[in-house]
Amino acid sequence: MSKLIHKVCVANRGEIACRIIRACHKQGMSTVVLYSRPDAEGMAVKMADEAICLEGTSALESYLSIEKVIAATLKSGAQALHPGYGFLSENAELARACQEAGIIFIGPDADAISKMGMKNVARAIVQGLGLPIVPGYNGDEQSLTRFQKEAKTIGYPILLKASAGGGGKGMQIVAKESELEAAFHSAKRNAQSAFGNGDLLIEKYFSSIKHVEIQVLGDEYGKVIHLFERECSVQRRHQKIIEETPSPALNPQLRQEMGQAAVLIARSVNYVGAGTVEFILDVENLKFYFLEMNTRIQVEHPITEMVTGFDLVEWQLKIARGVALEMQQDDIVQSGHAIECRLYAEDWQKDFLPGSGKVVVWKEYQASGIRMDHAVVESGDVSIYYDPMLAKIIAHGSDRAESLQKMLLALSKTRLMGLTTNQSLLQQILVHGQFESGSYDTGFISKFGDQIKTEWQAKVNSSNTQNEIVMAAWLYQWRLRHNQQALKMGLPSGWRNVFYGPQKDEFELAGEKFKILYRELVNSSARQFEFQINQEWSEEGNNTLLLLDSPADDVIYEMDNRRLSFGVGQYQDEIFIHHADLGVFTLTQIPRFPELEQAASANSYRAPMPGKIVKISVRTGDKVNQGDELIIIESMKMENSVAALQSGMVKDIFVSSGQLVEKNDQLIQFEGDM
Amino acid sequence: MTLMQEFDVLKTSLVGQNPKVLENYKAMLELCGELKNNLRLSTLQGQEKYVERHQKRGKLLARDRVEMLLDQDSPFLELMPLAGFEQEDMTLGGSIVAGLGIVSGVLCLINANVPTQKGGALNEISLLKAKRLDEIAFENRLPILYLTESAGADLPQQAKIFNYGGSAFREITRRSAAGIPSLSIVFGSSTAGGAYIPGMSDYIIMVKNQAKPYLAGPPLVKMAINEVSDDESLGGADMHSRRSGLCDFLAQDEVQAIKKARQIVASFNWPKLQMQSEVQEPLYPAEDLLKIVSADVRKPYDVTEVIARLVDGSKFLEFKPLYGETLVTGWAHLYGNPIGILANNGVLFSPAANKGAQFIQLCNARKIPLLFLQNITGFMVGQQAEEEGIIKNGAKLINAVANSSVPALTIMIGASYGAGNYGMCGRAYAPRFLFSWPNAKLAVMGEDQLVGVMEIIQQEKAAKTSLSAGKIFDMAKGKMAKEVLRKRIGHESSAYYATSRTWDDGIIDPRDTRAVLGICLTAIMQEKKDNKSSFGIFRM
Repeated sequence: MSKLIHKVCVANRGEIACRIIRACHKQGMSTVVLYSRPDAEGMAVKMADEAICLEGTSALESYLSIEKVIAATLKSGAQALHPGYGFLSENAELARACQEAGIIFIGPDADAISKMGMKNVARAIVQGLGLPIVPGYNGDEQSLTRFQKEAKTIGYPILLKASAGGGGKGMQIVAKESELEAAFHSAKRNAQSAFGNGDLLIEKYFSSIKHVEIQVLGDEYGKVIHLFERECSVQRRHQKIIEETPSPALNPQLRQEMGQAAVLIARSVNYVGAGTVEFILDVENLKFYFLEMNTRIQVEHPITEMVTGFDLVEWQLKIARGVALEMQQDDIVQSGHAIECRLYAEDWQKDFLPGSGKVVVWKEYQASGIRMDHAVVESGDVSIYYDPMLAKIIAHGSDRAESLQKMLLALSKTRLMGLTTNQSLLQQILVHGQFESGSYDTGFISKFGDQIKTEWQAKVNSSNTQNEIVMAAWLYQWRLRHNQQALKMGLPSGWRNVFYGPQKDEFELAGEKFKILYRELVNSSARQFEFQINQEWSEEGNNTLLLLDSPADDVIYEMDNRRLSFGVGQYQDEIFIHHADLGVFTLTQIPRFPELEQAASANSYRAPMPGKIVKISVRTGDKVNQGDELIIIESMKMENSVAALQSGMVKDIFVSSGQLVEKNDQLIQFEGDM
Repeated sequence: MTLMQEFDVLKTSLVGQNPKVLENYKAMLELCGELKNNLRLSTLQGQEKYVERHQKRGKLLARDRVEMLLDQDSPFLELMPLAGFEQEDMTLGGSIVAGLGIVSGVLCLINANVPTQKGGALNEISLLKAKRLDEIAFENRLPILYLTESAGADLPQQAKIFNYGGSAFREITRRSAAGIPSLSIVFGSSTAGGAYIPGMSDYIIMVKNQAKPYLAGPPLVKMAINEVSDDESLGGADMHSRRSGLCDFLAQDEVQAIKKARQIVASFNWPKLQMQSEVQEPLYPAEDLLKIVSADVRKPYDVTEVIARLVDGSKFLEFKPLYGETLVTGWAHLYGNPIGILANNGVLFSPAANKGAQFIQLCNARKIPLLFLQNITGFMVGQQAEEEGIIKNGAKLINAVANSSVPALTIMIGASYGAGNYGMCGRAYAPRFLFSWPNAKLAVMGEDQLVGVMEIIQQEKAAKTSLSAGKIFDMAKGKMAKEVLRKRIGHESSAYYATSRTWDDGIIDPRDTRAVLGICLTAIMQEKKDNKSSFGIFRM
């Protein structure tokens, strides 16, 4: 008999919280969302029927506190708790605490979670089923010497992972023995801060593999089905950014084998709810190995939903109510092809450095076969405290080619400005031959990242792209000024009865200066300008263009019989120009009247990003050599080292360990010129 | 719905391919091209070697200073750019760049010395131009921003300028008392009399290591009191900022000085320019003006065609269209502001003069500013006209113009001869602004008429003399003299001759007329701050 659930507590944030709330509402369940201070203005809080603040900013103080989560759920009167993904979603303690408190935990029971959560136990189970596993070590003994010994046995390169972790967070590749010690300590620190548990494991590192996972669903009555695979081989920092289904690498037989293996594994732990069995696929001989099982809903679950027609979150809720899976495995078919791209706030040009800040412009693209899962709010902030994923763009087509086409168009039409994102990287990947052919592997980014960067840069540099972008910025700024101008009177801007020289605007783009000289011409039907970029004004003739009418967040102009269209936005002194194919460019306007300030000294170190100071490696008066580590800043769960650019003596340290810093806050001053 | 929408649209009968129209267009385009060339000459700012030397010192040219001072993208109406044109001992523009422009959202008058033109020394034309600027500033309550760098009086011409030159300083302080601010940026030398331009101003900015206002430079000081000194200690910006108190704001360089000036203007607490709501452009293109108007003032044209290309929506409410029809009168709007227009369509007869007088009275009663479009050969002459009382009726028009209390704008769009000039608000009748088209003529009468009149008088004189002395009038000699006279009068009647002597505020391209009127109307109409005090600001 199925139970009634009137109210569900959503113990998560961002897009997945919104996704769960929607699914709950569809089934008539009201929702209460738990939130931390920085998320108070988030979309989930607005969408939920109730919201309870967990107080505190860091994940550890809020979403990761079992005590707070249970107390809030009880207070809210919710009968069930949905943990989403990440945070406590694979924490057996929470499942157990729910059970004790009489709350339905939407997911498998604590036993299944802990079995699959402990990698060595999971591996033993899978091995016991006669299924292949990846060579590795996951023992209780966590000493460096033991790790050194085990790594040698497995053979380098190896992978260090957090035992309690998932999703690739804090993973490190160790190529050779000499690197192990440093990596070991850093990985431990990361594991401790991300999962509250510093235990690590070792896995054999394959250089050319695909990452293929199988979605499973199990009900209370012992039935387990699978909903086919997702290929998630496009990864950076060992985290997925593009997923697709069906995988171009699987044949029907292999698909069936892997599906059956996944069902077998889930069944062996009496799995209830939605789960994912991850495999690595050795491309050469089409052999798969069990990697791990994720006992929660996955970020990339929507592509499975698109091709199978199953609403996985809805089924999570149904299963939690005790509803039986009435469908048969054979009834489930893959229809067409779906792909998901994850839009991240990160700088793919700079080693995927995570970013934060204000979302200045957000425009999602709506079209048939396009789905966007996100919690982005225009003029909302992306904080430094959590994962920098902004949105998931999902495209569904009748075949792989069609869904790739749809995705590329969706990416060019999606606008997110104000933060540095990986949008243009996603676009470049989609048109990369290796990706198009489907033969890519998990090394795709590391293999082709530089090539993609170079090609992207070449596109930016070629055929005046930069000039066109700068012109969009200029026309955008011109229009803003024009709209505010008193004494407009329909005169051409900068009207003169005695012409002496053109008007001037200067911008900086990617460290380069662009000077635009311009003059509006008298033209009753359109705004026509003559102009020069980085060239002298000519009495004989200059370039001309027409500025066309458009909404305020577009700039459209016509030049050489070509119509160019850009998305535009501005926050403080940063101007954002969205180029449909090449992403968002950030420009600053060089003021007409420069400040008198002196240039910053090379002896001064400033925070490269907002974050928390986790380690200060020097003391006042220390003599340091070029390249020495000065400070470590943690941002978006990543440790970033600030190193000395030149040798010198530390004169002053302006921060202390544990302190939160903003971008450009001064950290350290060396002796020498201020 | 604005009131203007009630007015009717003027119809046009201009046919593009008409031979007369094509001829007009060709001739007027030529005149406009000539104007453009002359204006380009006025932007040269002195001999190349002085310009280069100035720039090598890291200094900005006067026009670059002005451009930088103005709000980006804002309009600038330069005044009297061709003052001194073709006058031998004068400089083109009078070594001053001047005009109406917007600085920090405030409409200001700018008066910038051109230091690369004879050291920025002021000649007689400079004086006339500066006096006219003072007049404009006072009448229209406009702040003046002085960009000062001048060697002072052009000494060889001192006799022409010294006596009246003092009015410049008097005017600054009278405006100060009337609450109209003046600001000086001192970029360089500003000696003796020159020192009083900043000296009298409400605000002074000096550029470090450049500005040096003093009453007497090192040589004169040595001569006068046998004191050995240098520029910096006598009048350096630093000294004036820390010791004499002459300087209010010390700027590191020219750009910073201009930035500071913009900030000070922003602090004037001056009425901001009103945002104009969307205005209706005329229905017909301004380019047509060159096709309507004849380059030869002897050929008449229909002035309503001109009005249709100047006013909002080409909408016009004509007053008394059936009476005195050689003077077109009526109401229209310019950039949303109501305006009463008086425009000539031929010689002024008594009814036309009377109608004009009545119309001016109506505009005074309604507080509507006036726009005169002058194309007038004069009041009608002859027995019939005299009998109809043309003097009496003309006097009514002149009376009305002279005593009108609403602001007036005048554009010379053709002939301006005789008392017609007065009745149609010529310079002597103090319109707030007066501009000429390049085809305009200004004289007591047309050169043919004048030569003809002279000929008749001389023939009569000769006849008398020859009768008594038995001499015969030498026809050939008379013809040659006639040609010389015609040429001279023609030259002296030209728009360039007039503008060179600051008899107008500039020659404009007819196609710019609407823009020029708009800026002038803004200067006239904007909300005025009345903050008089009994004294100008004393410099402490």
